[in-house]
Amino acid sequence: MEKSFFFKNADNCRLFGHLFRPDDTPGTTGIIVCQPIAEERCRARRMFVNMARWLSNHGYPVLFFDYYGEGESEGDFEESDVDTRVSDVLYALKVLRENVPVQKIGLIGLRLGALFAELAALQEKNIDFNILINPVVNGHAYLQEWLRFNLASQFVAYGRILRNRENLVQGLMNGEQIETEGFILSREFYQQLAATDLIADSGINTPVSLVELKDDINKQDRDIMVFASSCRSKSRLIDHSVLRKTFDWKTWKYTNPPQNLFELVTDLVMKVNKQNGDCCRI
Amino acid sequence: METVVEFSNTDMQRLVGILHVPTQDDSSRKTGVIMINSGLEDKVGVHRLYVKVARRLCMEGKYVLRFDGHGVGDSEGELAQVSKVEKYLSIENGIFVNDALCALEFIRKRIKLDRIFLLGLCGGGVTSMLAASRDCRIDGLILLATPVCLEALELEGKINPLEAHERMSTWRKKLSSFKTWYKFFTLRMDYSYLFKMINVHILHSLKSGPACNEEIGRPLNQRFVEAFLVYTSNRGRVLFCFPENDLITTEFRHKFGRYISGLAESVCEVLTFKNSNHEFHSIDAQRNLMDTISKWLGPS
Repeated sequence: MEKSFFFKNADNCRLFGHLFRPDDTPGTTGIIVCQPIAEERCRARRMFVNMARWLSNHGYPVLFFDYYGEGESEGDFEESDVDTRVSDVLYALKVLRENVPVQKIGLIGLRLGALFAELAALQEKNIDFNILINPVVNGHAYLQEWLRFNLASQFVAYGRILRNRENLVQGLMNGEQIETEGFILSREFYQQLAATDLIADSGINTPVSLVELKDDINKQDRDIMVFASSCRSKSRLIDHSVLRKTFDWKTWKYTNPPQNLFELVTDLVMKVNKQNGDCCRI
Repeated sequence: METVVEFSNTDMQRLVGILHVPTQDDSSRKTGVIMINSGLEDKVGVHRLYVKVARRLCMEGKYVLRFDGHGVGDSEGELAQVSKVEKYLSIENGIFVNDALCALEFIRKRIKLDRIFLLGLCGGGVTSMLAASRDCRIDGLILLATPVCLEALELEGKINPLEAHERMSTWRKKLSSFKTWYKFFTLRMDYSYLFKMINVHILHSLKSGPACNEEIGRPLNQRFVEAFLVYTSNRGRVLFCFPENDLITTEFRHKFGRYISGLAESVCEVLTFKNSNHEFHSIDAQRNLMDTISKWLGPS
């Protein structure tokens, strides 16, 4: 059973939510999807709807929602930042518990959504597990991609770069609005994200499973490897899987449901459940 | 006020939408706008364009419905598991037309509207035109960056010969410019792009001989042409909004020009947005687009 609805967040703003409940007995483990942001959200939307339907068919209730300033939710993108999104994730825990009687809750996050899931786990100890798909572990590096998009669009529109990277950042710091792929980046968002580094945030103890989707499965992502070993050293890494990419958040290259990812995520949820919250060292 | 709405299409698939209802409705003529999603993106649209446009129109007193077609976003159903290009081709052939017609029925039953418009970006524009030719009660169409040609499987991942032809024409005009040669000899050109274009242009000319622009590149979508002729002959109004930096705009100019020549501006208006790309990314393009749509629709 599915229902779309609006709910109010901690700041009394309307957020759009979509709840998937298993048709028979609701499972005791609920899942909240932490979507990526901006255009990556748009490209990942259908994949998450399909994943939620898949998990729901396997007995897991799933809630996903749009952060303040994103998707169907209230507000403009430029009014939102890292803090508002993490606050929305924490509020979604309450909404899921109100709607479904669950004993455990896990977060599944993709890209920046994975980073928000980790930051939420830093604040809320009752998150039982996180499944992070291609997590952004370094906010500063991610922002460089955003600025690169802006430079590319300047080149397309004017045939040359009118403002370089430093100039754009300077403008942001002076309160200017910088557009990237149609979204407006604000100073607060830039500053908060640039200061976020999951490897440095050592206070998180939530069990975590890492999933990497790659075109070339032999190619290593240095940031994720460092993050994985950091999680392993804290005995919170449950699993680290690498899958061939059948879904992409940067382009519409793949448009069919990534079955391999759905199967893996279901296995990971079952694995965490079997461990009763105790994490194992691998 | 925004509310979640659900309705079924003819295959009884549940489609999910958002209905924007003006808080104060003291208008003399109730106006409704249905936004048709562009293809694989959900009802939010690229960079939330549909949400931004819908909220602006709603503030101006219009009812707006955005919805996900079957197999897209939050709606039920699944599109055939084929390549991206084949999916786009199916959209250009009208896969979402029935969903659009069901959305029209839904909003008409829910609100007594005096005027109703369809608005769509890219593939959403094609769906709007095909649907409008089957429902003469639609008062107007707002088509943003709408392709008038069909996807060509043989061109997938390749440079469109029309693009190469256009580039060559532009470069030929610049050959006598000192600036051009200065850029060329001081390594300030994208040589890879330049040689790719020359290569495609020469190969295409050798293969097909001298062709007029109408024949180069992707084929014209005859369904779209027929729908346009039917709709405009029924006094339907059309606003085409094209971004300057988009091959779709070039295709429209070369291949569709003859169908709009002779039509009064009150029937068919074509506007080009300077320095804009296919998705109207820049802040100025977004602002201009919203002002244009609002002005064209007029007051409620």
